[in-house]
Amino acid sequence: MKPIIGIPILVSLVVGVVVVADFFINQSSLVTVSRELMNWGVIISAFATGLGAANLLRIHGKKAQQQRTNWQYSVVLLVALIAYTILGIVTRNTSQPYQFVFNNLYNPLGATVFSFNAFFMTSAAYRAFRIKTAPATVLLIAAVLVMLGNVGIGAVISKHIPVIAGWIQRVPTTAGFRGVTIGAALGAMGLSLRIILGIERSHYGGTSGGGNA
Amino acid sequence: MSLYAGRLSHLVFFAAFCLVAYLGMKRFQQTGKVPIRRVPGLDAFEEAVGRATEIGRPVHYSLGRGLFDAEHGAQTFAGFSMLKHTATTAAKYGCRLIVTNQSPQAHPVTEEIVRTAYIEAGHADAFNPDDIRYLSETQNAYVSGVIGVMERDRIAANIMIGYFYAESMMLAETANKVGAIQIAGTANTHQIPFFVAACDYTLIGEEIYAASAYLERHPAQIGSLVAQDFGKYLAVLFIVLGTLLATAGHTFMSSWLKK
Repeated sequence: MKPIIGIPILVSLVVGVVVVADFFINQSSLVTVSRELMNWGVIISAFATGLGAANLLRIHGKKAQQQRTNWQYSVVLLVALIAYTILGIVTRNTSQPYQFVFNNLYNPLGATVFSFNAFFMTSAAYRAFRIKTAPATVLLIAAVLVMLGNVGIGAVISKHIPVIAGWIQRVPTTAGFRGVTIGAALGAMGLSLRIILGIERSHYGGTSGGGNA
Repeated sequence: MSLYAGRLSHLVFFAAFCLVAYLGMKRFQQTGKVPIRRVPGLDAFEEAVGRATEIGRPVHYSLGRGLFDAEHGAQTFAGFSMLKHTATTAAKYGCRLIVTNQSPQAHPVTEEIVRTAYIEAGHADAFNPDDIRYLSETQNAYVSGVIGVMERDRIAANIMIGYFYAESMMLAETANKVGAIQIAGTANTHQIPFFVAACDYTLIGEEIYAASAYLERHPAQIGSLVAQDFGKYLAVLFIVLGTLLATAGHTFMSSWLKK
């Protein structure tokens, strides 16, 4: 065991065992300890927000200072970051100026980026639905039926299309989703077990796969 | 001290899972052989990083949301495992690796993982902390940032492992536009179809959790893979038996599972 990661592994083991035991065992002291540990997790996470902001300041500050390509955008980012933070601290996040910037600048920009999805989905669907293999053909037929079943013209073409579309979504799609969900839950359980026992340790930055922790 | 109502069957299953993991590990230690099915997406990692190295362009890695909470945390940790492997391969080949983070909590972890991978590979001087970037915790701002990184740096490979929401499609399509080979994996069932449609290789659900065990083949990790398969067979058995018994009017299996 490397001494530098031995302590975090021990902490993970103790915390993991307590939280897992709390899931099964109805014991008031265990509940108290487990809730307290989870609260600590939330508090520690909050500190990371500061680290994120520091990373932005460092990378874009350096870029602006050295006047690398497109450094002007870094200046805009830094000004926006600092000014909006000051505005939030001075006037509170429920104030009118703060809300004005959020509703009239941030929200429209966010909606614009999100709307890209329509075009990205179309181009991805075009590539995925090209009939090159048997599964791609099945995908195409299912997709066309589901799309037609969800718009008015589908029922005009045939009254059976919405019924078939509903069946595809209810039966094969749901069955597939549930299979993936069961597999993913088992996978998460296996990974959690490896983390608690210190077998999986890549998140410490150290070598993973050491079973002798 | 007593068990919570409805969790006895969970405890029995959990104990059986741990026992099978232990037996799987022992068997692998003794025989050195446990049949594991091939996962093309995991086999392609080397190819993706190798291709990026050949054409002298960077690899981009994303953990998606990078959340640590109970529902999504396991996927983030699976992303960390694959990041470790990707960073080690990139360091070995001398390939530039750019990691973008949406979560400030995941950011310091990713930086430490990549730094350690470069040090272990003997290329500490090649590690550039500016390539491990926190962009934004907000989905659309993060997507804008990553699209910019992909376009400006002309990435040659895009690897996305973790919990993704709607950003999955936007990132995958942009990477496709710049000609990057793509490997993506998530356990979010709503985003898997997008990855399947847009990426070259997709790790579906459980495959992201098996990644480090699959790639490193350490006995202790192989044991958990065996337990995963055991759990799946048991789930199939319960579904088939439960369906037959419920059809015949017997409810004792569903009653026991609720205990």
